[in-house]
Amino acid sequence: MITTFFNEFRDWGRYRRFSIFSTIIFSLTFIALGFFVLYLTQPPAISLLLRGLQSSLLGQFFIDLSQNSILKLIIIFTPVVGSFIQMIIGRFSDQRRDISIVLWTFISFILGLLLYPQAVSQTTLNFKDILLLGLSFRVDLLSYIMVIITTLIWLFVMMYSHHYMLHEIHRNRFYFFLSLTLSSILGTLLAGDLLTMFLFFEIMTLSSFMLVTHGESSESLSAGYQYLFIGVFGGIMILLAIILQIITVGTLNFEPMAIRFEQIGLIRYFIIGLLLTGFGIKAGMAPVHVWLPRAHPVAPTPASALLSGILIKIGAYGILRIMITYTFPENTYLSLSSAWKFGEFVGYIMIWIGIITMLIGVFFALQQSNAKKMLAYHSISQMGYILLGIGIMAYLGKNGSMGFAGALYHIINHALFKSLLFMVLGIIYLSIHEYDMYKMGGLYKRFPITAIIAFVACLGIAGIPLFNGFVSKSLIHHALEKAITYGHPSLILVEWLFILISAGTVTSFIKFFSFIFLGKLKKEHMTCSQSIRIMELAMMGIALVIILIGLNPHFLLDYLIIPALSQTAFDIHFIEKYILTMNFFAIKDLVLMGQIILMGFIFFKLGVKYHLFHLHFSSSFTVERILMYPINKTLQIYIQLRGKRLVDYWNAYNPYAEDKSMSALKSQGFIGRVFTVSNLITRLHENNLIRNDAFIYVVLLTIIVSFLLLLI
Amino acid sequence: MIETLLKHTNYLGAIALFIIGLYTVLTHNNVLKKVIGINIMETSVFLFFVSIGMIQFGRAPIIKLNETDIVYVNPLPSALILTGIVVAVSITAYSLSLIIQLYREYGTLDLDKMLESKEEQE
Amino acid sequence: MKQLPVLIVLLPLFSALMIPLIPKRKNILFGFVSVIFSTLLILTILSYLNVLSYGSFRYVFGNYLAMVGIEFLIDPLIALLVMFVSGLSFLIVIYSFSDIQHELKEHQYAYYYSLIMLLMFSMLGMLYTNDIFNTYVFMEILSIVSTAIISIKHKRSNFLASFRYLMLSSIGSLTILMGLAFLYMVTGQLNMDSMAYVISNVWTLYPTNLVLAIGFILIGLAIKSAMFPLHIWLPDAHSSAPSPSSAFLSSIVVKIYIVVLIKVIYRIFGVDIISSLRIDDFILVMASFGMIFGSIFAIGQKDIKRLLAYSSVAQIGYIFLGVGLLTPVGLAAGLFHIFSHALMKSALFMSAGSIIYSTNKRKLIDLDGIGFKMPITLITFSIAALGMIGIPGISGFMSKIYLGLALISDKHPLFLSLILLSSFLNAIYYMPILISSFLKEDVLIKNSLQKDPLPLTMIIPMVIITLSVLLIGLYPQIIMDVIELALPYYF
Repeated sequence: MITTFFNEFRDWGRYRRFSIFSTIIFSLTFIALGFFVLYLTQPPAISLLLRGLQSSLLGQFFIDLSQNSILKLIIIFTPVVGSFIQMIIGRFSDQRRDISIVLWTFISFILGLLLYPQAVSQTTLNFKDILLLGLSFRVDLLSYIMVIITTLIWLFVMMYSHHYMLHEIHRNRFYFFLSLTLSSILGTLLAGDLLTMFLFFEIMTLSSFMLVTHGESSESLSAGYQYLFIGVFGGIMILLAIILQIITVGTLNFEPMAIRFEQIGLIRYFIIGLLLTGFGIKAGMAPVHVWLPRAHPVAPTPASALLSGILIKIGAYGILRIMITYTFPENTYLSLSSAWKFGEFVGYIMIWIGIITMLIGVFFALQQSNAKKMLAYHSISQMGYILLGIGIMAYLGKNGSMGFAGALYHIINHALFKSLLFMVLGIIYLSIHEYDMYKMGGLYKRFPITAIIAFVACLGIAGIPLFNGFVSKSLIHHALEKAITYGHPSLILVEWLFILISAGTVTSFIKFFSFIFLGKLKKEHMTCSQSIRIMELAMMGIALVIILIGLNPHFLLDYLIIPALSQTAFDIHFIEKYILTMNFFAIKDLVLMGQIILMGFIFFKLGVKYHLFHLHFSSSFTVERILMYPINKTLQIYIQLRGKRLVDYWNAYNPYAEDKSMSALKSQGFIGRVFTVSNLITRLHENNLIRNDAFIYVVLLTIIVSFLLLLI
Repeated sequence: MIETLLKHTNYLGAIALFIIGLYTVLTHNNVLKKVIGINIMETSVFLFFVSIGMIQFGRAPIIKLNETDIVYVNPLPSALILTGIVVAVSITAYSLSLIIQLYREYGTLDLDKMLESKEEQE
Repeated sequence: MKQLPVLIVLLPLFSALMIPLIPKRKNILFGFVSVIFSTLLILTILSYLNVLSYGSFRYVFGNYLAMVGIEFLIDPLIALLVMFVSGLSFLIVIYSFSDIQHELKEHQYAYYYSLIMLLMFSMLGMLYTNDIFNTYVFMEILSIVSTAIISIKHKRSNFLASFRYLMLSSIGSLTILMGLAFLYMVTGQLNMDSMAYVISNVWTLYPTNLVLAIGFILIGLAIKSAMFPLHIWLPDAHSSAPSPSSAFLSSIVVKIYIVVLIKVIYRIFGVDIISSLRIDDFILVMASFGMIFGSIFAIGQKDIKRLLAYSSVAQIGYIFLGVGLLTPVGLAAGLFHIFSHALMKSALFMSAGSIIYSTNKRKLIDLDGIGFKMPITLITFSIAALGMIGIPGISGFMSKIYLGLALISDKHPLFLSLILLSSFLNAIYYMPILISSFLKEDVLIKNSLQKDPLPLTMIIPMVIITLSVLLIGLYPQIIMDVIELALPYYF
C-alpha cells in the first residue's frame, strides 16, 4: 500500500507546480513549528544549537522583527495585500494564484509565530485620533494562541482548497474575500480595546457573508440574508453596549474593571447582556444560533471548514475577553472577596446557556441525514462545551482557572478536528457529489487514507483517550466537579447532562463514520474517482497535530495556556495545585470515558435497530419560530386584516418573494414578514398620505393652537 | 369686547384671510384656485405686516425740515412688504407658467385626476 | 479680507447674470461655470482659513449700525459650512457636465447653470446673514430656484412634482412670514442678536405672541426641510428631478433650512424659552416618527430614486433629533450629521444617476448583476450605503456614535434604541440592492469585471466623495473641532 501511495505522487500532472510548492510549504511549516516548540521548551541538549542560530543573520532579523511593535499592524495587513496581488495574478493563471495564496498565508503564519516576545510582554500599539477614540492593538498570550491556531488551520485549508475550488465559479472573488476575512479575524484577535474589535468584527461579518453566498443559488442567498441580518443586528447590539460603556465607565480598554462596573448600578447587566448576545450570535450560542445550520452547509467546503472552524471561535474569543474584562477586579482589589460577585451571577447564567446549547446541538444533530448539516449542529454543540467552560470560569471567580484552561483548550481542539471533518466531507463530495449519509457506504475501499484521517478526527471529537478531544473534555469535566464542590448543588444536573451529551456525541460520530466509510460499497460508487494526494497531505497535517496534542497534552498546557493564565488575575495556588500537576491519564477519568463510550455504542445500536435516527421533529419546530412567535403572529394578523387584496400589492421588490402565492405568505421567516408588512403599509398608505395634505396641516395647526391655549 | 374687536379689525381680518387662503390651497382640487389661495394668503400676511407699523395719530413718514417732535408711522414694514409683493408676483408668474405646461401634458386642471393618472402610469 | 463674504455671495449672482451673455457653445459654457466655481471654492477656503486664525467677525453692509442695517455674522461653523457647500456643489456640477446631456435639451444648458448659480447665491446668503428678513428674502429666491431646477426637465411627472413643491413651499414661506410678523410686533428689531436681547426682556409680557411666532416659524421651516409628516412633497420632487438636481436638493438645500431653524431656535429665542414651551419634545417626537416611518416607506419602494428620497426623510429625522435635544453635545451631533449625510446622500444620488445614465434602468428589479458592469459606481454606492447602516470607518457610524452619546448624556435612552432600530431598518432596504447587484447574475451571460462605461467627469466626483466619506469617517475631528469652536455662539 505504501508503494501505491508513492506511485500516485508521480501522477500530479497539471498540478505539479502547486503540489511541489505545497509540499515544500508543508514541510517548512512543520520545521517552523518544531523550532517554535524547541524555543519554548529549551531542552538543554539543543540550547547550544539554538544560540548559534540566534546569532546568525537570519536569526537576528527575526529577533528584531519580533520585538518591533508595528508587527501587529503588519500581520493584519499582510493578507489584504496578498488578496490584491492574487486578484491580479488570478486573471492569468489559477495555479500561480493559489501558490501566492499559500505563500501569503505561510508568511502570515511565520509572522504570527514571531509575535511571541510581544505576547509575553503585552505591549500596546496605539493610534490616537482615528475614529474619535483611537485604535489600539495589543497581543497577550490568549490572543497569541488564537492567532497561531487561526493561521495554521488557514494554511492547511488553503493547500486543500486549490483542487476543490477548481469546480466552482468566481474563484478570484472567493479568494479575495477569504483573505479579507483572514485579515479581519487577525484584527479582531489583536485588538486592544472594544472599538477596534468592533471595527474588525463588522468587516468580518460582511466579508464572510460573501463567502456564504458564493454559490449564488437561491438557498445560499436566503441563508446568506439570514446570516447578514442577524450579524448586523449583533453588531448593532455591540454598538449600543459601546455607547453605554463610554458614558458610564469612560474607557473601552481591555483591562479588568469589575469594581468600576459595580459602581454603575443596574445598567451593567444590560451592557453585559448586550455584549454577550452580540458576540454570542457569532459564536452559535443558543437561542441565537439559528443562522448556523443554514449558513454552514451552503458554503463551499473550504469556506465551511473555516467558518465552522475559526469564525465561530472568534465569537467565543469575544465572550472570553468580555468575561475576563468585566468580571475581574482591578489589581488593587484582588483580595476583596466580594469583588467576584458579579462574575458569579453571569457565570451561572452562562453555564446554563452552555448546557442548553450543547443539548440543542446534539439533539438536532442526531436527526440529520445531511452530513454537512449534522456537522454544523455539532459545531453548535461543541461551542456549548466552550461556553460551559467560560461559564464555570466566571462562576468560580478566582478559582476559575480550570474553566478558562478547558475552554481555551477546547477552542484549539475543536478548530482542529472540525475543519478536518469538513475537509473529509469535501473530498467525498468531489467524487460522488452526495452529502446524504444514508446513501453512502463502504467508502474506505476507494478512499483509504481519507478514512484513516476521518477516523482520527472522529476519535478526536468523541473524546477518546490518546486524542486531543479527551484532554479538553476532561479538563472541562474537572472544572465542573470543582464548581459542584464550591458552588451550587443544582449543578449536578449539569453534570448528568454533560455525560449524556458526550455519549450522544460518541453515538453521532459512530453513525457518521460507519454510515460513510464502513459497510458495503454501493454499486454506483464503485468507479468513482479517487482523492487527490495533495488534499490528503493537507488533511494529514492537521491530523498529525491532533495526534501530537493527544499524545502529549501537557505541552500546550504548560507552555502556552498556563502562561496565559498567569497574565490574568486568577489565583496562583489553585493553578499550581490542580492544573500544573494534572494527570490526564488518571484511572477515574479513563473509567468515566469508558462508560461514555459504552453508552454511545448502546445508543447507536438502539438507534439503528429501532430506526430512531429517522425520527424528525416537524420542520416548523425551529428555534427561530419559537423565539419570534409573538412578533410573527402580530405581523401575520396585520397582514390578514389588511391584506385581502395583497396579491395586487405584491409586485414590490421583495428579495424573499420567490413564490408569490398566499400559501408562501404563511410560511415566511421574520425578515420576509418585515418586508411584506412594509410593502403593505406603503401600498396602502403612501398615496393617501401624499394626496391628503390638508389633513396633516390641519392636525399640525391644531397642535400649535393647543400649545397656545396651554399658555393662556 | 366689541371695542377691542373694532380696534383690531386689521389683525382679525388678516388672520381670517390667512385661514381662508390656507383652506383654499389645501382643499380645492383645481390648480388655479390653489394659486389664488396662495395669493389670498400672501395678501393677508402683507395686511398684517403693514398694520403692525400703524401708530395711532401718526403721520406719513416724510420728514419736513424744521419740524421736530412729530410722531411718524413706522416706515419699515412697508419697505419689507414691497419686497414681499415682488416675491409674491414672481411666485404667481412661475406657478401660472407651470399650470400652462400641466394643462398641455395632462389635459385637465384637476389635481386629483393628475395624481391618479400619474399613479396609473407607474 | 473683510470683504470676502460679500465677494463670495455676489460672485454667483453676477455670473448668473452673465451666463446669458456668453456664446452658447457647450464647452465654453462648461469652462465658464468651472472657472466660476473654482474661484468660489478658493475664496471660501481663504475665508475659512481667515476665520480660523483671526476668529469670527461681523460685516455690516454700508457701515450702518447693525441694528438698522443688514449684518453678516461669520463664525467658524458658518465658514466651514460655506466652504463645504461650495466644495460639494463644485463636485456635483462637474458631475452634471455629462449627466445633463442625457436629460435636458441643448438650448437649456445655459438656463440650468444660471439657475445653479442663483441657487448658490441664495444658499450662501442664507448661511451668512444675521438678519431675519434677509433670511426670508433669500429663502424665497431659494424656493423658486429649487422648484425651477426640477421642472427644467420637461416631463409630466416633473411638472406635477414641482407644482406641488411650489405650492407647499409657498405655504411654508408665508407661515414663516406670519411668524416673523408676530416677532416684529413684539420686538421691533430685525437683527437676530438684538431680537434675542429684546425677547429675553419681553418674554413674560407677551407670551402668546412668542408662542404663535415660534409655532408658525417652526411649521414653515418644517415644511421646507421635510420633517415628518410634512415631507409629502419630497418623494415626488427628488425622484423625478434630473440627477444633479436631486443631489443638490437632497443633500444641501434641505440642510440649509435646518441651519436657519438652528439659528432661529438658538440665537433668537434661546434654549430656555424653547424648553419651557416644550417645543423640543414636539421636535423629538416628530423626528423619531420620521426616522421609523421614513425607513418603513423606503422598504416598500420599487424605484431607486424614490427609495433614496424616503431615506433622506429618515436621515433628516436624525438631524432633527440632534437639534431638538437643546444641549451643546446634541447640537454638535446634529451638525455633524448634516455634513456626513450631505456627503453620503450626494454619493448615493450620483451613483444612482450614473446607473440611469448608462443603462436607463430605474427599477430595483432590473439592477441584478450591475455591480460587475459598473464597479466604481457600485463601490461608491456600497460605501455610502454601508455608512448609512452604520459600519465603522465611514462617517455615518461616527454620527451615530455622537448622537448616541448626546442622547444618553441627556437621559433619553428610548430614543437611542430608536436610532438603532432605524439603522437596522436601513440595513433591510439597502442590503438587497448591494447583494443583488453583486451576486445575482444574468442567466445567459456570466458576470465578469468590466470598466464603467461612464465619462471621466462622472467618475472623478464620485471617487472624490467616496474618499472624503472615508476620511471623515476615520478622522471626524476635522469637522467636530470646528463645530465645537463655534458652539458658544449658540448658547
